[in-house]
Amino acid sequence: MNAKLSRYAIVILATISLSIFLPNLYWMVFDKPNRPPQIYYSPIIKDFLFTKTINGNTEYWDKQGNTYSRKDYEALLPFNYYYNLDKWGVLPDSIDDFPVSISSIRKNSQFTRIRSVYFHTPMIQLNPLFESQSDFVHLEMPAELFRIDNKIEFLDARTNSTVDSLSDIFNSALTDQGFQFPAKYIAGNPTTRKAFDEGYFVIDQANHVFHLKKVKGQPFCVKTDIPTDLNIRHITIKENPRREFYGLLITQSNEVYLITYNNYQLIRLPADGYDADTMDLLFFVDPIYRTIKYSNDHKKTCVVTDINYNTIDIFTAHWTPKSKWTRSKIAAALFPFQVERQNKNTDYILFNLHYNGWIALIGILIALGATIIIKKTVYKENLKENWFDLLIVALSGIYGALAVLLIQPEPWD
Amino acid sequence: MIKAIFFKEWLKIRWVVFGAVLLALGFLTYIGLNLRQYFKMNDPINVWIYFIQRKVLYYSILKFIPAFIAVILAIAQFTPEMVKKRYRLTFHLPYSETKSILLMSGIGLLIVLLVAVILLVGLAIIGSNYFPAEVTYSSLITVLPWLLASITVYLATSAIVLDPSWKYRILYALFFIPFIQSLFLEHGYLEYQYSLTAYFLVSLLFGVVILFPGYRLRKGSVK
Repeated sequence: MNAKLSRYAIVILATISLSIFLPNLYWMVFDKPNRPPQIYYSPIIKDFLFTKTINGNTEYWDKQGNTYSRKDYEALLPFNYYYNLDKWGVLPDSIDDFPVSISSIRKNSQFTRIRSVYFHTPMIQLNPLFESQSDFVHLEMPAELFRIDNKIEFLDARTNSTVDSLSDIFNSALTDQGFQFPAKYIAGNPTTRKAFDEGYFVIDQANHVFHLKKVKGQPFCVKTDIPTDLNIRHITIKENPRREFYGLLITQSNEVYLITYNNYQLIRLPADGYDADTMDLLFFVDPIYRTIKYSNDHKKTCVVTDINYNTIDIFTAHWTPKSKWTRSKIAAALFPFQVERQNKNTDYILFNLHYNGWIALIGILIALGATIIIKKTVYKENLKENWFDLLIVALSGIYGALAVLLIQPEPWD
Repeated sequence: MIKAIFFKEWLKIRWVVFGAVLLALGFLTYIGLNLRQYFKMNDPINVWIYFIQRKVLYYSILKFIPAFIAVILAIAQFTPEMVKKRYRLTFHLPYSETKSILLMSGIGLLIVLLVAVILLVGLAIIGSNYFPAEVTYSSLITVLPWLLASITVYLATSAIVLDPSWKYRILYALFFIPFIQSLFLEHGYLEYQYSLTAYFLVSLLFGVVILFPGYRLRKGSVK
């Protein structure tokens, strides 16, 4: 009996291993590249341009169905390809009264990306608080990192101990502003590779958003008027010399806002259909437009607004998702389920069983039939004695069939 | 009888146990010295930032050590039993076959756990010496899948060594490796936070895999 149970343990482990290995092997052989289109809005023709990649060749199209050479295409997108246009000597002098030059474009451009993986990644929240008004040009790493939960605590890396004097000053500054510990969320841009520092945005227990930075060694702490009922999920801070906004804010219901320098007022970006868990979001600022793009494995939406964030035009490109490919249907018929361990929307390692639906019955029936025939005719086994084998095959198809046929039952005591 | 089995197992594995403890302590010392060097030669804050933001694991050298020890231990424990099929003598003892074989694996598992405890304690000491508590904690959680893997590797290797046929040995290896390999997929810290329980529950199955090869050995199966 024990040996019989032990064999089932081996068979089940084999089934799990095969449900990891066989689908991986299948896709190693049959996968093909899936190049999503690039979409841009041309300030010259005032319409969308996009690329199509067919068999490794890129074609350039506009929405009316015209095709372009690569050079003509880039010439219609001066805010993206200005270095090339300048090299060819075709950079226009002005577009919609905006005087065009490499430096004017650079000064008036900005780019922020929020990837789905940002929402699913482990991160130890110990951050450096930079001196934001230093006498020196470049930002410098302070000697401490800080944590903020039930209080704010600075830790000196040289001694690996708390710096109570500094912690006390910042604790009082936060409490004076009405901060209610423990802190729920903190966001900042903890790198010295930026032009200047805007510190951190911290959410307290009462959902108030506070802006915290260090100015001349002293705390700078502001309780912002960002609504407390927003259900903020994520904030990305990205300092840019344009100083229009501190960064982007995403709510639990996938609304996207800019946190502006105008007293932290929020501007809602048009992003209908954006889903933070599965989509990457790109936000471009160019001299005369704002572009919001978000995409997942089967569509990409591009929204263009004017500088006041009024929508001008929207374009969505669809393509066949991998799950709809014929080869995916064949995989689903072959494999009743697979164990997913990693995917591109998360840094976490998973152990997710994905069932492939009714189509898997085809594979299961074939596997079951083959198992019965082989057991009866080749192995001459008594099917009744090991009926559990057949149950395993009925539930796991090809995986279980391989397992029970290769790890054969013994004549049990 | 239990005492006698303990003694027999100890005779087989004492040098491996000694070597395993030495290896674990040696690698911990290396990690400690390496960190000391890092902190001495660089600005300490940059070392912190490097390990926290870049998610580099300062203890990644440990990754396969527990599994390696587990393989050697299982081989040391079960190969002598396979020479001239000595293990079959056990079946003549007035002690249940299942109990004696589980006792043998149990003794090996204790050693695997001992190595795990040494590594965890060592990492806790090293971590708390150089890093904030968050980083030390993350190191202890991050190595858990590797330690779980060492347990499964030990049990899997025991089963592989004990089976009387090469065909089955190869099949076991093929059937266990993809699952065990799933415990080594991390790129940074704390990535098994949400799945370790699932991996642990599946790993429980390894607890009994050795009984089937043991039974096949007694029956003299040649398939």
